[in-house]
Amino acid sequence: MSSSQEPGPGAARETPREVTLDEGRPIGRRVFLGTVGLGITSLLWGQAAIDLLSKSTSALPQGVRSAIPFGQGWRIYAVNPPFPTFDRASWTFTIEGLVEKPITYTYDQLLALPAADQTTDFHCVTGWSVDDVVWKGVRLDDLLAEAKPLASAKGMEFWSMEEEYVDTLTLDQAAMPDVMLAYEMYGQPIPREHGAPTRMVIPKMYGYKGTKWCNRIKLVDRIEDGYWEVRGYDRDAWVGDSNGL
Amino acid sequence: MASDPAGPTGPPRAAWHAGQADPATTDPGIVDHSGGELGPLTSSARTPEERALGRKRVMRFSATERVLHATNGVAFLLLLLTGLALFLPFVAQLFGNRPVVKAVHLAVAALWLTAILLTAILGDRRVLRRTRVQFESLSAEDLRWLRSSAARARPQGKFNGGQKFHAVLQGALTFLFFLSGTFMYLGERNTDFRFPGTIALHDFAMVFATIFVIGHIYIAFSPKAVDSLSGMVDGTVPASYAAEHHPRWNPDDDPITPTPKPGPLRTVLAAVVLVAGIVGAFLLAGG
Repeated sequence: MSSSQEPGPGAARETPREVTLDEGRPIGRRVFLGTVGLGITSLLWGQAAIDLLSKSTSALPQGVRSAIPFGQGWRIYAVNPPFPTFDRASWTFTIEGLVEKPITYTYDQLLALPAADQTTDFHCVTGWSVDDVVWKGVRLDDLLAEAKPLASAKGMEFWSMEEEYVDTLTLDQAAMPDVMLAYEMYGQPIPREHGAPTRMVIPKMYGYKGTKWCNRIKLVDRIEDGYWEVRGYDRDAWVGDSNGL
Repeated sequence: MASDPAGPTGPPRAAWHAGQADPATTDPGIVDHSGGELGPLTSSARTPEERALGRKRVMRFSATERVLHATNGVAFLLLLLTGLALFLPFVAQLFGNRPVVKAVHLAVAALWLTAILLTAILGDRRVLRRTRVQFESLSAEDLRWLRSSAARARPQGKFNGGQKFHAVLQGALTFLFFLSGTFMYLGERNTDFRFPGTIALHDFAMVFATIFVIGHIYIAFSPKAVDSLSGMVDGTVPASYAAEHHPRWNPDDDPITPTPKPGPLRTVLAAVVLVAGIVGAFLLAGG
């Protein structure tokens, strides 16, 4: 390389001629920093914007909406749209399998059981969370005490009205005091997209463990992988300690 | 990684727009900045001047820029594919194994960051600085390029308004991807790091980046611009293309010189960054 090609010490900082030819003030830096700044503030308002966006999609057919993972501060996932429908007159909830006393409740009978309230955070494995969700329902412990699992039972399957969706807990996991079969959310009956009329709530585990549209618990002596676990997710889905951690 | 296999090793170019020959080449119509690697070029131009301009190629991008461009492109596509699989349930069902997809996503992110750092350490920083200044010269007039064909008809420099805006925007989005991605990573370990808009930010950045990448690719492969593609492969574009699309760019003012060999300090630094990046990618992927 000849010395005439070698830029001097200050050459790199010289403004290229093109800039001086250009009309208008350079605003490249401002656009860069503005975009970064706007992005950082969206850590606070981004979810609200997505909620607004999701409201604006309410005119779309349910099939289309359920393919879009946005909804009311939550992201609604379903594996077999459309969402199951709830008919209060014919709906039942069953506890069966390895139990002394298989039970079937109507919706009204379920509501008449001793109720519990809790306000817990909901964490999704895909990274989003909804804090302080208010739930009301029946403690899983109470349901199991009524049905009396046999000594051979090791755990249970939670089946959904949404066909093929199932997930599981061991007996020990099911004994956690904040595990419930919820029928109210924020003081209202659980909305259809959140699993009406009943869904499992397991706050210490990621959301996919909490079967929506749950209408059957089956006590088993062998735990099999649930719907997402067959697809590579952890069976023991502890928040902060599973799925690749 | 910033070596310069196709880069220029020849002498400085002659005045490109006058159609003068580079004395180092045998064909008087070609100014060869490739060190003789380009070979004879054909042209359908009629007059000797047109033929000379049509066959001549000018150096537009250094090896450093091309390597960075290729790295960014490959990393973005891999991250987009694996990211969609992690984010959209109906895409997730097409893949068997979420932990594997997630490991690939995180490893690619770590290696991308490593590649960017290595480019800065080993590459031609003078060229990178110059290109950055050219991007920063984005003006209000350049922004009009995006929506007005009259503005697009205005003579452009080395980068047109759309290219400058795209580069500035993607640079900002890349920063936001890394920021929100880091918060997502931390949020898996401690949910205190889960801010209400972290995922929204990652999603917004993905949507905008994808839209602009699609536009970028669409324009790059459009018949009008197809002659520019070689700029990102061997670094050269036809002089006629440069004269037509970037008349206010004078390659002589903007020479691509051989990438300087990194000194021992930079070589050691690069080795440390490379090892740290690979170890980091393994740790991220493995857990």
